[in-house]
Amino acid sequence: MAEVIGWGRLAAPLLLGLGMLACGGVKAPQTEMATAQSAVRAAEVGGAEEIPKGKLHLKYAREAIQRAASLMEEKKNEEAQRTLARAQIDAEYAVAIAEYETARLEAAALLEKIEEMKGAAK
Amino acid sequence: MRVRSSVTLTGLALSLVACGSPPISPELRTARDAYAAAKESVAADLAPAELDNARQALEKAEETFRKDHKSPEMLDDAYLAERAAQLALVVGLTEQERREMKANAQRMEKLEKKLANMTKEELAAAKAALETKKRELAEQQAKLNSMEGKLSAAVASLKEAGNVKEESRGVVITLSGSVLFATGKDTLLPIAREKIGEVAKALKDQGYKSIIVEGHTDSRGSETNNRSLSMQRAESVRSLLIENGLEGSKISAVGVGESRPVADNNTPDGRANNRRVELVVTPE
Repeated sequence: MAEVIGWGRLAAPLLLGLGMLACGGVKAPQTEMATAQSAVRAAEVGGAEEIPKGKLHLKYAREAIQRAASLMEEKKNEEAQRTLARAQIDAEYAVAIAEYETARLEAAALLEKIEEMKGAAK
Repeated sequence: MRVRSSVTLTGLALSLVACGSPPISPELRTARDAYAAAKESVAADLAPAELDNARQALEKAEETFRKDHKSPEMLDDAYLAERAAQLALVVGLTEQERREMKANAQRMEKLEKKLANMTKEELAAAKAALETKKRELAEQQAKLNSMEGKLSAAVASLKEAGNVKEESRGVVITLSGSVLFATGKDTLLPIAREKIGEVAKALKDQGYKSIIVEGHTDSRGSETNNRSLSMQRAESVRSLLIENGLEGSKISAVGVGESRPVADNNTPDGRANNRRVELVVTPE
């Protein structure tokens, strides 16, 4: 731990330089931020929150968005962009999980109904 | 000693491996495993586009790893590759569920139709059976009504025409002789024709198996005469019944004479009662 902090302290000026470089080279990823946020909303609307696994990845996505926002404040735009990519895919994964769950439940309900009807047809 | 040397050897081997290529990062390994799982799954057929995205993401992570196996970019790329593979797998599974659901929906439609038809058929059959029962019941009721009507009409007219009694030998209809014949004669009086017509009609309506027409006299005159007179009278009645539409083959005539009086032959009233014709009817 002490070593890391020490390394961090040493690297701080270097990182600052890199950050300044990034500042010049990479724009603040506003579009990526907006896209990731809307992907999170899509997952929320899709009911991902109600499925444990969906909820987990929604959490990852939200946390990544928050991290990215902090990074953007620190002008670490490149890192923010990569973090937003994580948020994006986690949100998309959450949406897919919700869609899968919906399809699975609908299919199961349908199958149950068919079994019932088969019973009635006998 | 042996233990120490083997430890040293292992350490040497490990360091040799590490020297050849950088140890694979657990993140990249996870991403590779996730991709392999997705590739083996239904995603290969049902989510090829997503699987291709995952392949590209994994290639990028491998590339980043080759360039700098300790870079934070490598961790990000491995993370993205893992998620892309997981995403492809889930999309494939979802598509599979949807396809099954589609097939099942078609199955259900067929079943629903079958069930609806069956229900209709069953309903129609039940209705038809009910209608038949109703009709049968109505017919029976009508029959019963008309039979009752006929029967009561028959009984009423029989009662009017003569005395009706149920005995062990059958239904006995007694027609008073004084109404039927003049004394000593075997020709029927006009009023008798009318009465016997009514009786015949009633019998026809009610139905009968057989009829025995018995002629009876009082005790005046000789027994032989009485017997033949009663026989002739019975024959007259039988003929009249046949004239009125009853079946001759079912009717027989018997002359009983004076042998079975029903009343005292010493009084005029008694003798009048003994002069009679009895119809013994065996009902159907």
